[in-house]
Amino acid sequence: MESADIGALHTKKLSLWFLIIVILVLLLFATVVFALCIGPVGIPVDEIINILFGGEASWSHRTIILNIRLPRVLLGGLVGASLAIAGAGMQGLFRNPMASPYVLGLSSGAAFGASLSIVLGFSIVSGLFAVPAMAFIFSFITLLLVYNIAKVNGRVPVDTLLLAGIAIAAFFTALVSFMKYLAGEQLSSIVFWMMGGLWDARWEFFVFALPMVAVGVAMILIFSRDRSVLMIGEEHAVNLRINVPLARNPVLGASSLVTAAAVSVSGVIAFVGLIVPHMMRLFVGPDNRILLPASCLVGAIFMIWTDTLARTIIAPEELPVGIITAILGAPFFLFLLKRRKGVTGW
Amino acid sequence: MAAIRGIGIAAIVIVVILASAIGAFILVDSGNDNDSGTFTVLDDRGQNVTIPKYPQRIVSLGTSFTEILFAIGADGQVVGVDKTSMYPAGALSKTNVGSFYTLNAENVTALEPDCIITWSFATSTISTLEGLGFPVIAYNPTSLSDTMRVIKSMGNATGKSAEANALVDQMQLRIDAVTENVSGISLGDRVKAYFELRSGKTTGPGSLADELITMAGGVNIYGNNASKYPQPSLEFIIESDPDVVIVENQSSKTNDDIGVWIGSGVSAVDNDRIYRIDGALVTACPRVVDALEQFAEWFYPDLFGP
Repeated sequence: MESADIGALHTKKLSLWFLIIVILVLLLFATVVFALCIGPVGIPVDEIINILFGGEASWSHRTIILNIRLPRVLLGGLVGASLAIAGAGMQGLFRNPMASPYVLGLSSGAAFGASLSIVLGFSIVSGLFAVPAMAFIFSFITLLLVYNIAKVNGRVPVDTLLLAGIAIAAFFTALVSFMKYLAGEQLSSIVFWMMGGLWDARWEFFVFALPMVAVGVAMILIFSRDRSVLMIGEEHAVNLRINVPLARNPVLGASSLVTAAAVSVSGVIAFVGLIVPHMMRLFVGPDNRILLPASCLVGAIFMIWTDTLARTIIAPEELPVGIITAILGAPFFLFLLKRRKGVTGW
Repeated sequence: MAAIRGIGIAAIVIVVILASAIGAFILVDSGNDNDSGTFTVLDDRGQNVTIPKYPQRIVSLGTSFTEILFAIGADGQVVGVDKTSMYPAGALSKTNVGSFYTLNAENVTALEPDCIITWSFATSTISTLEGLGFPVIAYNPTSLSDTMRVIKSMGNATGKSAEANALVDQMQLRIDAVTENVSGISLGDRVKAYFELRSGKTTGPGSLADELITMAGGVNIYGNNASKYPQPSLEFIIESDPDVVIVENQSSKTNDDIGVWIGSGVSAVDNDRIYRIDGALVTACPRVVDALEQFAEWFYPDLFGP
């Protein structure tokens, strides 16, 4: 009787989760459609429909919709989804509400790679991917440095990992400052890159990021079971004879992969990875099985909306979207902080 | 009788002007319709850019280029400018497409440009625009000679070679007048100058301000510095004892602020020779010669004074 109740409760919970995911997917779709219709250049909705379904439209409007807005909206969604799920992953991993996708200093490493390319023109590839490639490589160099510095006798203590992340981030931030000092006309390019924005969004970037994000997100979702074990703390996990570094590697690696992919094509967009998981924890609870996919979807929705604001609010100029996410994110974060006072768990 | 003849001449002049204006209009118009030819322009990236002969829908992303286009009479061929293009006043009536650092390409695309001119260091903006199929001419003028070379190239690109060459010749005459005037000054007698940007930084070798100071017969106290835009050191300024200090007008510091900061005992402060210049003149544009003449007048009022 009792077990039947639990079973029924479980089924009810699962169907609720399923409903949440369906609603969020529909919201995401609606968001993409709306964002496609809004921009600094006014294009009537019927013309946009024509363009999407191969009807008559002017060349410039067709280019704007298919080669500028569509890749930008989709890339924005990809970046938001990546940062949010990586943030949720890192927070679960480190059992720390302060954790964000950038907690290991990946963004600082990426910024240094980007500035090498922007200021010195140094990159492993030339042309379109000059900056993204360097940003991507240096965020992975950062990850390897931090992880190996923190590793003690095959174990990676959480506090050592976080401290190593802070130190390496400080080091790369100093190098970025030096690059800024050397920069002449390119100074603004670095500054704007570090604020984060999607004005350079292109199909090529979307195609570059999509497979990495897909693999990364799948890995984070699959290994969330191991993560529930880790939620009880590394000491306990070791007592349970779980190989901690091995259990941790896939999620840490996958979160870093999606973060690096996002940062390399959009710069350092603040707060999305911190705020969205907290917001979703409030709505769907702390269970990773619903928290992770919900964060992922809401991250995409949030990013597309804030980027729509970024490209229209002071049109024809652009506001780096990182400014908007931080302006919206920080007060909301404080609001959550006030709310959760006295409430256990996060 | 004389009055009637005067009116008659005036009438003829007016008719001729009107006729040539109409003729020019028809010529330009027919050229636009029939002449679908293209040609290539070599830009500062070393790239041969294929553009129509001649572009009639130019988007200019850079204040220097906008200013040059207006100065050579190609402003009628400009359909859009970036947000830094504030001079001349006519530039403000062109469609603003935003900042070239964070350009939303849809603003440019909507104008259907046949040629885009921008700075060669705006690499990601260039690849975005080229990816959309627009021809992009990228220049990087950092000196007076660069500026004159770019003016000529832009004249060639827009079909305004005659105007561009005339402008360059005139600039060269004024430059020569200054440099000849100061050529007799011995190295020891040259005025030492300190230049401060609105950002609070100063200008080292390779910068336009350094070149202007040198051409105007002065010595830039940061002229041997390693980097192009160094952060100034107060000790170094006092030790160098500049005779003249020039501050960009856009700086938030007043001349008094500068004087107090550097302190008395330094020649420029003691002799009240702290001057301000519009930063828009110290850029790669035709008006840079105004800045050169102004510098020379501040350095050597006896030679250049009224």
